[in-house]
Amino acid sequence: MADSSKSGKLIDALERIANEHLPDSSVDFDRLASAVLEGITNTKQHAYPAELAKSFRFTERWWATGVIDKAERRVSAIIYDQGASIPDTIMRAPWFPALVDAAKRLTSWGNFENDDGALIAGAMAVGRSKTRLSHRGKGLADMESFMRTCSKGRLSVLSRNGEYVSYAAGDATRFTHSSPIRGTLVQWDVWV
Amino acid sequence: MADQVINIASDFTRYPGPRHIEDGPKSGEEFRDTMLIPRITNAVQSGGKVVIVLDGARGYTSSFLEEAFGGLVRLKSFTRDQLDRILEIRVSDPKIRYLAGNIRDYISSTSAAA
Repeated sequence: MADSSKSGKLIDALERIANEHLPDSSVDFDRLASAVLEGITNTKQHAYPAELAKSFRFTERWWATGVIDKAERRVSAIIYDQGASIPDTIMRAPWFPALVDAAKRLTSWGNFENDDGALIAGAMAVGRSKTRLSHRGKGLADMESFMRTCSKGRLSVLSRNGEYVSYAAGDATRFTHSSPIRGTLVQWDVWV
Repeated sequence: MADQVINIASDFTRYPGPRHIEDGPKSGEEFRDTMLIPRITNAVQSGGKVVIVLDGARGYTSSFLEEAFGGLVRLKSFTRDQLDRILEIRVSDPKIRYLAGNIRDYISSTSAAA
């Protein structure tokens, strides 16, 4: 359940601590709350599909926390789920073959299907694009768009073996690690 | 007829939720169906405006606002002209003034479902 009062109260607490320890921080906590809720909603909608319940043995929950680092002048919000990863999820999507085809024609991503970093980047790109049902499927993009309102920050999305990092300046990078994490961890870091 | 005012933060929730009722509490769908539609229907029948106050909430996802306002056209047979006449979006906080424009975009760019 994407319970906005739980995630919202976490952001309330983060804002109170930031006001105490990082006065004059310019973080837009309302937009951060929206980005976090989009991430949690994404978990509710995609991370625990019934057809994978047996093979994954899900705990249908999400976790969230926050950090104020006074020395670094950093505000962070983190959410985590132990469900199906983004690579697992998008490879089962009906539009996945079209995404692979477009990536092969338009990018130098190479062996896209076996590159979890590229699969997460692909999911983000689909979220940013206009789809036929343009009112749907924007959750990942909305998680990222918060970063564009910050002067210095990054969004990190770790899922299975992949990592996608999007920076406030608009650039992004991706990695594929040798060891996986279970589920998906999303972290917003803003330096103030 | 007097204007009807809905202050989302005090009349519905300080923590607006996700798009659909099935996704979580205080969704855009719940707000549209329980708060917006009764008042808009009333305003269509008897005149007057419905004023929506956005200030004071802990952020709005685009999913919440699109479902609540775009969904009036897409799913509930209200026309853009009707909503232009009836709905007034009120925002005092300059940081969230852009949301009023987003809501107008959701209404104007949405087509009724076939």
